Parts: sequence; structure tokens; C-alpha cells
Amino acid sequence: MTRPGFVLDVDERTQPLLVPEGTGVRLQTFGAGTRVLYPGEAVAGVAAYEQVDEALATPLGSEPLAHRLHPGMRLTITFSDISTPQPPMRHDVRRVIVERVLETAAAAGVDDVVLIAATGLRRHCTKAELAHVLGERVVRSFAGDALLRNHDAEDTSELVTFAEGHTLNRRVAESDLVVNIAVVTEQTHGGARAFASSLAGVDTIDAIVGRPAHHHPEAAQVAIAAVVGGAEVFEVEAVLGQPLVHGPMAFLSAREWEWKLRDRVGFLAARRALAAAPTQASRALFGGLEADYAVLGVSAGAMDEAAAAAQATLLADRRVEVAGQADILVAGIGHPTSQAPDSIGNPLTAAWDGLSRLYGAHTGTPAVREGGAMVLFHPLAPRFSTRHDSASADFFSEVLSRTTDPDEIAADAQLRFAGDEWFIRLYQLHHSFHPLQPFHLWYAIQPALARLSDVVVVGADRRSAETMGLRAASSYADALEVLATTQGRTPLITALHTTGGVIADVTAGR
Amino acid sequence: MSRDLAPWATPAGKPRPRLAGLISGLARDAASLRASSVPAGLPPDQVVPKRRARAGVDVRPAVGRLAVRVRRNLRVELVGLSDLRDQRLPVLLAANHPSDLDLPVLLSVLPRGWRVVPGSSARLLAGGASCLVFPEGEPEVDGHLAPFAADVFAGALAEGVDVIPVAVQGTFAASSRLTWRGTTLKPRVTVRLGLPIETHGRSAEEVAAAAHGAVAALLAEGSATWWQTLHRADEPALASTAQWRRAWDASQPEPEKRRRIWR
Repeated sequence: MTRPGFVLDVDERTQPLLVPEGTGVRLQTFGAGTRVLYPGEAVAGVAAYEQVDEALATPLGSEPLAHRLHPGMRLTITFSDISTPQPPMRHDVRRVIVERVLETAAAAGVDDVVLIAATGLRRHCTKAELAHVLGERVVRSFAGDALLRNHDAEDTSELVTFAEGHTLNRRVAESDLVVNIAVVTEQTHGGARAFASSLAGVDTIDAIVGRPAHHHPEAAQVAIAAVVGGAEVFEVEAVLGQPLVHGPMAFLSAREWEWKLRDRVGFLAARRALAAAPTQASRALFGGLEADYAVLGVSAGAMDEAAAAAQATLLADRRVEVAGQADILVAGIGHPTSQAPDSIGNPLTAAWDGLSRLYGAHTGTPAVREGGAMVLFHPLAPRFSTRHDSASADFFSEVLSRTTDPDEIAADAQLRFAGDEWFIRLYQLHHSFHPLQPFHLWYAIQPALARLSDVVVVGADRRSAETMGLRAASSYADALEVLATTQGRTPLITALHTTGGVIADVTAGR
Repeated sequence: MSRDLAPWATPAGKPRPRLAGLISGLARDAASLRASSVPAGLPPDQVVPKRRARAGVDVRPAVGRLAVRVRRNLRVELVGLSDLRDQRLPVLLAANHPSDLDLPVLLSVLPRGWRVVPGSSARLLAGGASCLVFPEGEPEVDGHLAPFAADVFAGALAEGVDVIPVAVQGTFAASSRLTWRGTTLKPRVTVRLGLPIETHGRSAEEVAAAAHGAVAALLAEGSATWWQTLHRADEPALASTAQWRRAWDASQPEPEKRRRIWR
């Protein structure tokens, strides 16, 4: 029995607590009265063969997978790419699921099989990354004949267009059955929206997650329905527990009062190494981080039923009840995020992580009240991977220096970036993010910015924070000092312990 | 038109590390790690466990002179360990035996936490050590899979431990190339681990047959691809051909993947 997530009420004697801050970690003292939302306990996982077999044999709202396979059919297996989970899974559950699906397909006499990484507008996976996700057996069996590939949202010859103008990967649309495999560690993972925004063409993805979706959410739903309706999908979703990190960084998975000598030494060594070494060294420490995850549940079957079952499992594990909305929400931005896998990210991905992913992790009521503030920990160093983030670098320096208004940006700059042949070439051939990715990140953080009065980033580069319309503070106390004018001198503070995942369930009271 | 950014919002540079700063930083960090105590505000269901969750077994490969020497001379790839990370220990590892190199190769790549020792006896297994056996006996002259002897599985049956099939590929051809000093191209050796075979309620002959079948399947997977072996249940029949053809086949180098700069 693992210990569930909980709320720690900080008092005067509570020791400093661990806060990730992008390229590093710190121990931060919180004031008395702060409520810290701790994730559940991380435990090691086991190979989930039984769970996968049971899910494939008794799916929800569908016949068993074996009954839906027959000789001569076209089978396509799509799977969520390396962006989930973060940190990456040391023994990936997608390998187990894909192997089981392929064994079932081989037993049914299916020959025509193609595997597609559902990358959407994210960067294409390298062969080594695909091998990490799917295992040596699958990659060696399929990669050589180009039967294992990344989805390309720009290759119009590989997209089919439906009547409404929406597009979908051609192989997916023309297959007799698509087995879509997703790992779920967030509320946004899995389900129809993730499927559609990962396997459609660029215009359709923009309609689902771009600025049009903000103004016309019903049109986005129509687009999702069109894309999902264009394929015969058998959904498989695996819900993962909290990340369990091993080795020198194992202190990330342990609660501070349970740190052993080894954890303390690991923390000190990491802190000093990061202070002394160049930035590239922090990438070696955090970019190469891997974790074990327990598989909490595997659900399969019809898209909506399987996704709903997965979300129920996720909520049961991640939900932490907290009384009343806070005036200030505090969160450290840590590991590589799903918008910057195998990377320490850039200011845009950090802002997205804090203001979209962490702010949005709630059951309907945000953990911070409207007009409240958010304090984040991140250096916001204006560094962009020359390989992955060329478009983000231009967006940051050219677009945000002119305006931060999302509608103005969508009207002025988006078309120029989306049509830039060089960026598209980098996306298609050189493992870069699509040029629309920074735009979608920027749009995703707008709901939080609109609801919050201030966002202060502790330890941030002042120029970067100013460019994004955020505020910088040199210390946590300074951040609270800055916010005292709007939030008062004794604000109610909720902090997220972000070394794991938490979904805040805000109840009445306080 | 550009936005007017606040003039005081200047970019931050990373300060150059200085020894005095590093030492004072270390002191500050150490001070923040002051004696920890269980917080008073901790809910009662959050009892502190005596032992923290760990990945049961150390699955890192062996260290030592032997491992260094093997890795200096061979490119060894281990496949299939992911499925065995929660394997109940000890186990009996049953490997094919194409060459004398098999033993050092296996001892250098198998997980440290398994405590693998060559040979098989119920006493060793009862002591918690995993045993490594070659049920074919002596290395085969043609490098191909020979029938498995059943008696080596007696210890596993007596102790009720699982048998892990192991397929070693590449050592038959590698053994003659190791004498070529100075070469930069190391022979490639692949070690494939299969899923565990339960011994409970089975005879030694049945376990030997099951292990033989599993090793043959792993070898076929290595020479073709896994997906092809799923479709082709029967092994290619080389057993009836002449011995020189079997040796020729076993020592055939794998096609090298040439790096191409220009597409």
C-alpha cells in the first residue's frame, strides 16, 4: 500500500523543503501557515504484462483486440512520443503494450503493420528515442523498412482531407484498425483531443489547440470529432504512478524528512556541481534523468470509455484535497517538461509548465483564486536549443519584443512562422519543433495570465521575465514582498511539491 | 513597433565560479540541511516507513577486470533485461554455448544483483546465488545449437527456481578475431534473455525441452527480426546440412551498417 498525496501544513519548525528550479534544485523555507501539496509516494514498477493482457482481452465498449484482427487487414499502431512521461520511463510500458499487440496481430495472421509516433507538432523522435520507447525488438523489426516512423503534420501527401477541411494521417485514416497507445500522467494525456492534436495536419491541430480554439471551442470539438471519426481506433491507455528516481538524484523522489545520508550528499553534490559547472553540465544531470513508474492501470477499448477509465484512475491517485483557494500559488519548475524532452527547456516551456500544466492541474476550481498570484522558481535563462527550438528563439526575440497580446500575435506573426520553409524543413528533417509550437505555448498560458494579477518568477533573468510580461525576484521573500501590495501581508499560500504530480481538489472552507 | 522594456530589466549573466563562493555556498547548503524531523503538520496516515521503495535488484552490469577486458575487445549488447527487473531470485540461466568466450561475456553483462556463478547445484541456489549453465556441454564445433542435457536442471527443479533462457550470438565468430590486436572494429556480440520458464510440477526433460525451444527462438530472433520470428514458428532447418556449412553460417559476419553522410 503506497502512501497517498497529502497537504503538509507548515509551522515554524518545519524544515526547508525541496523546490526544483529548472537547471537546479533548492531547499526553500516556507512561512508558517503555507499548505504544501505533496504527491503520493513513488514506488518501483513491474513489467505490466498481466495488466496489458487483461485490458486487451476485456476492453471497454469494444470487442477484444484479438477478435478485431484478421489476415489481410491493415493495422496501424500509433503511440504517444517521448514527450510523455517526464522524466522518461526507464522501462517503458509502451514497449510491453506494443509487443503484446504485435504478438496478438501475428497470431491472427496480420502482415501489414505500420507503427507511427504520434508527434503532432512536437519534434520528431530519433531512432535512439524510439528504441528507448519501443525496445530493440520492435525497432529492429520495423525501422529498417520505414514501417516505423514519425507523424509529419506538414507532409500533405501523407494526409487525407475530410469534407470539412480537417486532415488526418493517411495511413491512420486508411487502416482497418488503429491501435492508439498513450501513457497518462496528466489530465491532458490520452483521449480524443490528444489523439487528434498528435496525428492531424497542421491546420487541424491549430484549430484544436491554437488561438481559434480559444475563441471557438465548439469548432475545436467538431475538429476533434472529425479526426477521431476518420479512423477506426482501439485505444490503450496506461496510467503511471509517481516518478521514482534512482542513483545520485534519488533525493528527488523522497520526502525531505526521510532523506538518508546518501540523499543529503546527493543534494549537496548536485547543488555544488551545478553552481560550479557550465550550463551544459546541468543538462547532463537533468536532461538524462530517468525514473521508474508503477503502472496503476491499463484501460483499452473505445476511445472515450478507455480515456474516461484512465482519467478516473489518474484522479484517484493524484487528487489531494485542499480547503479553499489560495491567494498565492507557489510552484518550482523542474525536470524537462513534455514540451522540451531531453532538454532543460527555455523560458517559454518554463512558463508553459508553470502557467498551463501546473496551474491547470485541478478538478474544476483552480488552486489559486481569481485575482491571486503565482510564484514560480526558474532561472528563465534566455537559451534556446539551436537544434530543437529555433522557432522559439525567433518567437521570443522578434514577436514578444513587439507585443505579448495573443490575438495580435495570432494575426500578425503566426502566418509568417507557419509558412517559413526553413523552420518547416527543420521540423520535417532535423528533429526541430514545429514553428507553431511557441505560439501554442503562448496561447496555452493566457487563461492563467488573464485570471492572475501577478506572476513572479524567483531567480529569473529579469530581461526574460520582462519580455514575457512576468516579474522577477531574487528570492522567495522578495517575491512575497512584491506581492504584498496586491495580496496583503498575510496571504493564504498553497505550494505544489512538483517532484511528482498532484491534482488539486479545492473544497469549500477556509 | 517594439515594446518598451523596463531599462532596469537587464539580462543576468552566470557568475564565474570562485573557490570562496563555492565553499560558502556549500556551507549555506549544508546549513539548510539541518537536522530533519518529521513535521508536526504531517497527517497521521503518512507514517514514515523503515525502508524506502527501491528497484529490487541492482541490474547494472558487472564491474572488474574481466568486464573491462570483455568490453575492450567486444561490443556486447544485452536485450530483454527490462522484462526481468522484478524477477524472483535466484534463477538458473541456461545458455547456448557456441564458444569459450560465452562465460566471460555473460559474467560481464548479467546484472550484479543476480550474483551469477558458473555451474549448477541445489546448494548454490539455496544460498541465493543464481547459476549459469550451458546445457549443451562443451562448445559446439559448428557454433549451432545442440540438444540440451536434462540433468543440469536438477538443481533448479529441487529448489523450484525459474529457468531463464539465454541466447549468445557472435562469440563463435568473435573468438578467432580477438587475436587481431589493434583493430578498431570490435566484433559484435548479442546476449538475449528470454522470459522465465517455471519449473514447478515439470520434469527435467520438459524443462530442458522448453529451454531449448526458447533459446532457439531467441537465436532466430537475432538472425532475423522479432516480428519475422512471430510469423515463422519453425526454425530454419540447418541441422541436416554438412558441418562446414553450419560453421560457415555461424561465423558469417553481420552486415555492417555503414554510416552515410550523403543521402
